[in-house]
Amino acid sequence: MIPLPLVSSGSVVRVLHIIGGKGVYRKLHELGISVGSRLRVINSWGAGPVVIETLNANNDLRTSRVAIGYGLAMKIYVEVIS
Amino acid sequence: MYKINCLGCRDCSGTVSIRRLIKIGVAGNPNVGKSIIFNELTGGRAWVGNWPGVTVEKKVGRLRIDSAEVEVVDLPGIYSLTAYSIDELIARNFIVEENPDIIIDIVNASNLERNLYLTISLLEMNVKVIIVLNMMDLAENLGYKIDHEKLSKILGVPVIPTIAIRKVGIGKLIEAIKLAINNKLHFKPLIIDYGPEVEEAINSIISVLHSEIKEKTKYDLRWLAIKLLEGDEHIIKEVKRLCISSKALDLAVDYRGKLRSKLGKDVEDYLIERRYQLISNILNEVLSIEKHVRLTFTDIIDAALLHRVVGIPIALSALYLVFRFAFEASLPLADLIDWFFGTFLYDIIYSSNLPSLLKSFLADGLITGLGTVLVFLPVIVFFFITLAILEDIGYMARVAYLVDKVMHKFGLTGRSIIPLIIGFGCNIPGVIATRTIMDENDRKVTALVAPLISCSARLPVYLVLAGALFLTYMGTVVLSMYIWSIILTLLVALILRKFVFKGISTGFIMELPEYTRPLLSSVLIKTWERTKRFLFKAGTVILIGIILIWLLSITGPSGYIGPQVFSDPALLENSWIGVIGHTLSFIFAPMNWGWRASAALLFGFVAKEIVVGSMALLFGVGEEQLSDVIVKQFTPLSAYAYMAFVLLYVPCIATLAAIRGELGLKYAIIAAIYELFLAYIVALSITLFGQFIGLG
Repeated sequence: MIPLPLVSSGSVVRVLHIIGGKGVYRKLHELGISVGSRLRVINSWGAGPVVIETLNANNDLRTSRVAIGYGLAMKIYVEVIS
Repeated sequence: MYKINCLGCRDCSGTVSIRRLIKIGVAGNPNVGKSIIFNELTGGRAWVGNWPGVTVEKKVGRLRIDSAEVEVVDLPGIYSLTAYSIDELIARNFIVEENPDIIIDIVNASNLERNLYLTISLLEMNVKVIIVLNMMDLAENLGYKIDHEKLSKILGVPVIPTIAIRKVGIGKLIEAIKLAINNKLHFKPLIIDYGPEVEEAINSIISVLHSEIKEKTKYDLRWLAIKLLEGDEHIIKEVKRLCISSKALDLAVDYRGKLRSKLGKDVEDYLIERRYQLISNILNEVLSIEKHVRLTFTDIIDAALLHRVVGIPIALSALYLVFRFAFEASLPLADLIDWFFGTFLYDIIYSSNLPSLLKSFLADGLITGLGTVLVFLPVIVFFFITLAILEDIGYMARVAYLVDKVMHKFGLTGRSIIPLIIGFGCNIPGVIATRTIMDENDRKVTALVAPLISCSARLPVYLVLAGALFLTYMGTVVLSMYIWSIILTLLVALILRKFVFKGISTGFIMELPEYTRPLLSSVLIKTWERTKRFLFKAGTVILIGIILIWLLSITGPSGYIGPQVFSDPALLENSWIGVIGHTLSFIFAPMNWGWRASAALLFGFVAKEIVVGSMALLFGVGEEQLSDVIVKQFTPLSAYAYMAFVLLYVPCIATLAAIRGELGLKYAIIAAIYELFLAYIVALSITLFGQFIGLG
């Protein structure tokens, strides 16, 4: 279980845990990121924002691209699937 | 439609039909083409106002279907219908309070999983929904095949596939609206099965609500019960108001506790999960993948535009091109407007045989004032057109991403960049564009520093002073003003964030939409909405200011002087303007600007571009000979300090009015005061530093 920004670009991850209050939870959830959802990391460089693609639950097709600021991304704990 | 009995006039057949106004709301996630469809339906004509009590914009348009008058309301772009955000509350209250006949829910066909969440939330409110599956072309490009008829059958509402950007399917949508308002369409309420435990809770809350609610309510009871279980604060207040006792509320609290231990999580989270489960099941039925597309157009472009090394240089070049294009393409038009007001109309009025006081008022006050403001119209329009194109393509979201890391260091977020960039054209729409920033502190800080961005009205001041005194280094000196502007904007933001608006920002999160072709109508509408703010606000506030200054010029402590002041600068010294200028020059003594240049700053409070014209007026020369006078009156050092002061001091009245509109009077006053101090300190530092190293 590692914070999202530490995953290298190109990996597919599953969200395990999100730290933070309702506000954080809701904002991520709106854009399709919640516990259990699968993401593909597109861009992740050092202490900058992360670009991810949310993946459909049924198939691995991407649904949307989202940029997440570093601070917020550090609150998302994931496991690397591939 | 209501039929009423006729009172017996000759012409009609006994009854007349009175059609009530049909009301339609347009809802959808951000970036789904909502405004394009709204414009298609209303022909681009809309009234813009505010939703009651908040500064969120409300757009209302009209549509005629046969003989029915349909009012179309554009709802804010939202993802769900919780009470956490103002936008979502607005959409919810619209549905409850205004009781729309139909909600058109625009869904991005290439991103069904997320978009259907809002659809489900709307259906749960028991309103009539027409689903528009927009961006079908994008979905196809991704290899998706969507069975929209099946989707319609499952959800029990009509589903219309469209490609709004190419006007495909709009006719079918209007056809569906027509059938719906004639009650020829079937809408089946959607009842989500939340599982036995939750259903039991919902049903017992419903039965309590049933007996407890005092009057006939606009709310759907099942929806109320679900919201009470979710602990929705807004609804709790509503139920408190509606019910005779707190029985329903107590029951809901009771169930929330019981269900948490039974389900192992908050009911709220559990309900969200169930809804996604439902969506997932629906997608299994209606969505199939024809071919796997590995690399899309967006993937390829983003590989370059979001690149860690070349991404930022590309963004800077793109923005530089926007500036160059706006300033150069607008030049001939600006010259034309300048000539029309400054020479053509001016001469017509002066050669007429109106009374001389009226002549002066019209020519020196009104026409000159209008001219100085309108000269900036072309550059602002061209600037906003290119920006709107970049936004519509989807590039500005990328720019926000690219700068987020830097902005974060100064206490802002990536989202702040768009209002600030708009500010380079005109600060007024820049301040207003801060509305899209979600975090309250981020929004306030961005709006307060936005006036430090060097708008196009400051440029002529730099050009005249730098052109007269710095000659070959003119370009560098003007550029340095822009660099000052950016540095101070970021520094002030950092200071405000550190000491005034403390607290951690909720952070940056932004969808990066698929790249799309810009649509002319959408670009033009966006440009017009921003330009309009400049025109109307600037038009009214600046005009009043100009008239005031004209009055202060033709009168003085000794009483009425007369319009001769405008041709005789010696007389002007006796006017109120002269008195104020002398007072100001005392304050500005260290910078050694003289009373005329100091008085010109006062004019700049109305609008910064006026500084140049009023200097010419105060020195009693035409703008052409102004540079000769400037060479005599200024040293390069005092001119540079003067330029910095013009960049930073009090934003023009119209921008202050915009800040007042967005944040309230208190913040407008704070902005005015801190910028005055900042400008003075910077100008003084430049002067002292220059003298220290032996300049001036």
